[in-house]
Amino acid sequence: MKMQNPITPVLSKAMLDAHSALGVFFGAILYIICFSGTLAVMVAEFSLWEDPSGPFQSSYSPAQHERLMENAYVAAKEAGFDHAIYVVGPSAEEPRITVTGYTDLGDYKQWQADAEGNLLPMANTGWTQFMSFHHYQLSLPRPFGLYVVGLAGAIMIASLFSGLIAHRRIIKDAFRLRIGGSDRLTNADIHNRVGVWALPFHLIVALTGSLLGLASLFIGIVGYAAYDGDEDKVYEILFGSHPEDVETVAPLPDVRAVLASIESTKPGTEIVWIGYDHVGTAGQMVHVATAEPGHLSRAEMWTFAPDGTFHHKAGYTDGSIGMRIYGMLAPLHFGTYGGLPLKLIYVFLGSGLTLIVATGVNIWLARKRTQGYRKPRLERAWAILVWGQIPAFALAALTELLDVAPALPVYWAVTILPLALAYTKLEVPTLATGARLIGGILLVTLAVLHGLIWRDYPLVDAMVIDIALAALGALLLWRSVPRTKAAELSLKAAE
Amino acid sequence: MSLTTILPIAAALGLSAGGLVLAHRAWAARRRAAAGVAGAIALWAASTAIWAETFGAEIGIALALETGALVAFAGILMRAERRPDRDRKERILPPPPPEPGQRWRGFARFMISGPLAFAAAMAVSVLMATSAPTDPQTRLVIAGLSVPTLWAVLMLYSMAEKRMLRSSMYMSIIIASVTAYSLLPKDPT
Repeated sequence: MKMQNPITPVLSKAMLDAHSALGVFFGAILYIICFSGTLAVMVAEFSLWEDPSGPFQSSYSPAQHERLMENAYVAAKEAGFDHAIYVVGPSAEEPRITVTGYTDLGDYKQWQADAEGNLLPMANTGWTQFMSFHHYQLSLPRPFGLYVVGLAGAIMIASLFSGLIAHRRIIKDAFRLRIGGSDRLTNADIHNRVGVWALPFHLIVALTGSLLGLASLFIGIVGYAAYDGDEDKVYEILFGSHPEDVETVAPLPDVRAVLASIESTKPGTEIVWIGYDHVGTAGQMVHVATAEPGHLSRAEMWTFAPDGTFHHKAGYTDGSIGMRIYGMLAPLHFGTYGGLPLKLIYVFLGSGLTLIVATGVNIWLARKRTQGYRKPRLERAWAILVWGQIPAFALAALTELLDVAPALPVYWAVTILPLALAYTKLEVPTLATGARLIGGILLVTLAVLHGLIWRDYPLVDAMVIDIALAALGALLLWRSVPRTKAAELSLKAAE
Repeated sequence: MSLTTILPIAAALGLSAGGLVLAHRAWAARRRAAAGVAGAIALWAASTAIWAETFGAEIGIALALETGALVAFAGILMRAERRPDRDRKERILPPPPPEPGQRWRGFARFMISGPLAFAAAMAVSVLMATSAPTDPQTRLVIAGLSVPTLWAVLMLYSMAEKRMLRSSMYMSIIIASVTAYSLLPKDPT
């Protein structure tokens, strides 16, 4: 007996229409978020690349931390950022110690520290910070940027569901990848194969990203609906109570006792960061984030009283099911639980997601074209946006490197201004080739200049990224060089 | 990385690739495919078990899914068909005449699948966050995860539903019911 396909043609058609509408209306936002997210996976590595001058260390002792904290408290108090102080790192991925002092309004100032606990000016990582901020908030102010990114995550989930239901030949085409022939078929095969085989990854990053973006809105609404508008009560359910506001001056907490307590409870646990809340007052608390082997969470949070007495644990590794899921969200989204090999897998799969968005809109445009309804301006604008992301990020990095302009306005100028070319008569392949050519030149220039400017700091991570940028730039240049008919034919024969 | 880690990784990747080969054979054979599919699922399960045993269940299952996708891509890329480029003559038709009221219908559908579907998803999630029969932390996190998922489902439903009045009515009923429930006097215990 032949099994009936549970997805009827009517449902499939309805889902295809919904899938197309979502892609066409939100394609640009989804593409920008996926592209920047793929880059943001390597945020620690890019931070080292952007400023490889150090100081770097792989670890430090409790005594060194105590000395660093004393210096940090003095510096933060002088600067007026001493409400809370967080000391992050060093870790295997980013062997840099970053100290952040906060005011009670959440404004902050950052330093980096050496092995002796001396505070130094913060590393100059403007491009990396922009790239990360751009992915988190789409360069928009908080909290609206977070909501837009959360919305994009929900749209991505809807697109994945609808794409799956719309695809009636999902089994029949499961192993087919046809390249060449018609553009629409090539785009469709890439779109569908990547979309289906990496579906679990795509669902995970869309769902976790959406929740990370919409979390504060959801907590605000729950607080409004169930706790008389007091969202702090919702945060207390999740993370425990805030330290008391007691202004009485007190000595800094006994961090040696804190670290000794963690080491005796969970030997070999990696310390990710140490935070001091209401620092230097009688109500102060110490929070320590740890990464435990075998757990996805990279920030199990322990809270201690100033004398080193254990107060409570967030439970990301051993608490309620909800807290364990919560602890997994960020690592699953950013791929921070498996070192560099996993990050490279995330970059590959993230590129796949970016490709799905790009090919999705391409398929729609091609369908319109074959139906006879060309949308030339939209075709040109889409090609400019898709191929323009590499020049935009590359030029932003270059201007930060040369210290001539901040990354944010440069990125947006390169992303938006060329869209005016959509109103010209230029052909789509010409625009795409032009963007590839400019992107290639910028990447090679960036790699060479970076190597020259930082030649006295030969950090392996930075050199590997320079080589990768130069190789990607060379590839783009090679793909954008016009070929003679003979070269084209010999290339095809070779293929 | 020690040999005790490299060997299980190699075995898990091998099993994952073996599962892909069996799945491909079942796909290509078309007939008597059930045995092949069952074999593929068994190999993928074994691969997942090795990942989980080596790195713990939390990390292992995630790694199994991610490396599984990589192995699949490698397999599909290896047997990609290259086709000669074709020059196709394009048809140029005049743009279709706009249907009367199309813009308003589009706007109404946008409002139903956007703000209204979001409100309905949020209402159900808030209800879960406050009333689901589990501990408060778990119901908050599960409810938080259900916001984008429910919104996505309702968004698709409202976009696929031809009769907009029906979809907007269903969502309004959800919002009204949850609001009414939240206003009911609660037992303080």
